[in-house]
Amino acid sequence: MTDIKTSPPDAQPKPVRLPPSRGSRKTRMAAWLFVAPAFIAYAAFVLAPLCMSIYYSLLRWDGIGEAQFYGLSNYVTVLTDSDLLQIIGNAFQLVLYFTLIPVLLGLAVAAAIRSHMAGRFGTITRTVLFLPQVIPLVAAGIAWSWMFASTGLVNQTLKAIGLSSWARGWLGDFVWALPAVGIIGAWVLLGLCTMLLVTGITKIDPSLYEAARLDGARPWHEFRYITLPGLRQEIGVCITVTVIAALASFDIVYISTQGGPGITTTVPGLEIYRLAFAHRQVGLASALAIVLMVLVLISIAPVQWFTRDKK
Amino acid sequence: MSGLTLRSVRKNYGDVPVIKGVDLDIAHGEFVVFVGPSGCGKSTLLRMIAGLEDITGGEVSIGDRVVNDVEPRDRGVAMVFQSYALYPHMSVYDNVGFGLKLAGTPKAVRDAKIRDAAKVLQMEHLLDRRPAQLSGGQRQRVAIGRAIVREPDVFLFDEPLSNLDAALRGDMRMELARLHNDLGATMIYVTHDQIEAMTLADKIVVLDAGMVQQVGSPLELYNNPANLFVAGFIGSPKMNILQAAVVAGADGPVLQTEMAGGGLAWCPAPEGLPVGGKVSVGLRPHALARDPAGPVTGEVRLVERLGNETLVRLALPSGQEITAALAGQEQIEPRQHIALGFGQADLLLFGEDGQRLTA
Amino acid sequence: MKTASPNSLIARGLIIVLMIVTLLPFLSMLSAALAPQGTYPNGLQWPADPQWGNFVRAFEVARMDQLLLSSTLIVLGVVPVSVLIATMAGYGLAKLTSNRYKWLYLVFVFGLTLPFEAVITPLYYEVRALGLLNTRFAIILPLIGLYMPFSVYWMRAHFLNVPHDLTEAAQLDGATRWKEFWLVQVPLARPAIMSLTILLFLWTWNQFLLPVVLVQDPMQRTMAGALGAFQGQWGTDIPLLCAGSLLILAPTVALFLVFQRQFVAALMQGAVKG
Repeated sequence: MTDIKTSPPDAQPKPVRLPPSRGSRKTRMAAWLFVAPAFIAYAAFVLAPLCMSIYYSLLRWDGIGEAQFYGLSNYVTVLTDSDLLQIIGNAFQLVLYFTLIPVLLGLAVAAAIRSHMAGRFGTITRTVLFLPQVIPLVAAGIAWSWMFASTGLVNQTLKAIGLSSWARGWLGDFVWALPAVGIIGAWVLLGLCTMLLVTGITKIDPSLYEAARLDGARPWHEFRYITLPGLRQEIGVCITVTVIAALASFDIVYISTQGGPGITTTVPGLEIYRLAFAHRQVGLASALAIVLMVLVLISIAPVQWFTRDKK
Repeated sequence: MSGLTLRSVRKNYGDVPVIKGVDLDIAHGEFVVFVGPSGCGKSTLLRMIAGLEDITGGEVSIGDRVVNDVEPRDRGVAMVFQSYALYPHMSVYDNVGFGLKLAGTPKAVRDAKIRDAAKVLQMEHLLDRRPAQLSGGQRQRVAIGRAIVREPDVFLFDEPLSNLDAALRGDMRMELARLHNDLGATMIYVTHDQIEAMTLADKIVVLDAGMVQQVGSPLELYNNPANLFVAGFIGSPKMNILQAAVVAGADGPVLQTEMAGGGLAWCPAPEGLPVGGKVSVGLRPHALARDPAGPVTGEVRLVERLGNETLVRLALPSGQEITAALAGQEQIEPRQHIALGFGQADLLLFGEDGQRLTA
Repeated sequence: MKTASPNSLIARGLIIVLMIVTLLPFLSMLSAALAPQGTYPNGLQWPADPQWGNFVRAFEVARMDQLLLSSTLIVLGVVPVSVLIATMAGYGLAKLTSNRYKWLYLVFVFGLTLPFEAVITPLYYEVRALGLLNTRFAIILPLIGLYMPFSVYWMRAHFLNVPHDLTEAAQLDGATRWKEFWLVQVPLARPAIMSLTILLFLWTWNQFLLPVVLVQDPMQRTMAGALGAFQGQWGTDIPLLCAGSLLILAPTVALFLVFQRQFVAALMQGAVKG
């Protein structure tokens, strides 16, 4: 007969069904029970402290004595005090290093290689480039403190190529300490971003490049109109990860500079720790913490918006 | 003895009713097929019987037990899913035996049952494999085997053949029929494919828009469809439907369509039809045959030669196209004008509400 | 394999430069670690007389055996529990997909970008109130909570991809929810669970902020936390500091080299999903 249905033989079974009702009341009860332990842990050690943070941020409190209600004054301080503003600015300067260097270098490598890294070379590359992701950030901080030390490898190299005048104690330098910290972060994140982008580019259909070349595209056009759009999601991931790492940085700064010299490398994370536990200004520390959280959220939101697959 | 009874069964998703009151009696050992277009509620109804969907209203009984609030596992049903739903991490042996294991069946008994089922389904050599290593047809057998070993009162099949290619589907259809004969169990089978329904069923339930349109044996539905929907759904190629008006004739009211020269004017209208009323006339493609004097004339648009018969798409003077299935290998070419005839007993009449009119 | 085009030669060159840049700090540390005690070594210079004994001394000074034990205990306290309850929650949330329950998922997702610093101050007072300050539980309990957003998000994403039919088949086969979870869902989730375990292990082992704030005694801390204390104490003795640092990062690096494939996969997926 003519109306023998031609469904693809043995295709991935994809049951077409009415709007999912997802089972009965009992199912939902069971589901709640499955979620409960995780939710309790989350509520106890994230949601509750977060609420306390908001509460503390409205207080003037030294952590020991009587607390005073202080309204939004702590927030006013965070947003007007020149030191605190500089500290927040430092975090955003770090974003330049943590984000731009790995993403740009990663893009360059990905665009040049544009194929899978197979075989032994691929394995070695992956292993080496991921090393900084595996070690504690503290160890990265120590390693680079030594690199940037006055007798460290950086100065040694500069002297070797005849730039002795450039040699300095990088992490103690008012101008160069922050860029140096930024380099440490870039070093940590470089491998991850590169591998993500290289993996992403292998998912772009090679025939797109061939079609573009037949249409008369130059290498720059290929990069601009095929590679970049094709990597949108991966770039979004890299930016998200690196921006969070920069804004919420703590470990690297704590180890390599302690925020110095002066406050040139102090970041919000470190300042929260100082304010709360050294200066006993719990209210101000909490306000800064909330501001940091909000800054991370509003920095990430547009990235997520632009790089999501729009369907 | 486990029949199955549905009493005004209803189901809403939120405010949207999808099953609008179904009554049904299924006897023990019957092979019942739910058939209907996609979205008609047939799968939902099956899943309500299985206990996978809440029942908004009405009663489902298996045997003489109301099972509305009984967990799926305690209903004595087994189901074969469209996707087979085999556990990918278990061997075929473990897939088939999973239910028995959960029920605490002793290992020796379990082993015997699994091997029996494998023998029935001729898949003894597959027992050590994983589902991923099987072809579609083999997976299908495993899914059926899993249902068999549980020795359920009622087997439920949810479009089990729709993921197989055409040839395999034919084989599996016969195998299912054999299985039903051997096991003698109650089986409920959901499909949107009317050939499966016609070949397998003792009893077909035609569903549309959440309501039962007709229940009956395959031939009953073919010969005596209760309404236009069933008439159009059962039978292949589809029944031709022509609009006709009731006009006054010499011996009382007659039907008139827009076929050449007054068409069906000689057909007496059933009693009770007022002159000026409208009816739909159903005419199966197989009821048509070449007849130079026949009342149905038109221009051939398309010819499909199947060897044993020839399907002709014919444009009537009114512009409407109808299909005729002519026996044998007719020499007909597109753009040719032909005339067809039919027996009066082959006409089916439907009222304006779509219900069958019986003379 | 493709034949090497000029492009891929440039790419290889670039990658080799990146690899060298990645490795240099480690090599520089190694060369410093082998310098004679009390000297002030140069950036990268193979010492004439490598002092392998520095590692032995660093091992003793840092009390590495104790640190390993402490870190292991913390990992054992955090990872299995986190993975278990996150797997359960991921499964549960995958079943609660209707709009009425979306808020629950969103509450979890909200925590994904939360910097630990945002809650560290109240955590201190909370842990103190629980009487856990300066114990390993001060690190273990908060970490379990802090890992939930990512872990639950991760496992839910996995369970959403498991065909719903399998759940129903298991129900009809007579499985209770609990049995279905253990006998059907968990075995199928093994790859996702494995990756999550690797990530949580790394993050716990390398956790720094919590130990620094909540635990004074380095011997109760994680490796990373102890390394901070070690630097504070021996920061001026470069050979010893470098030897100690290398020792402290050796365990994770060793594990990484053995399970390279799994680690890389987990870290990449972790970034994409996070």
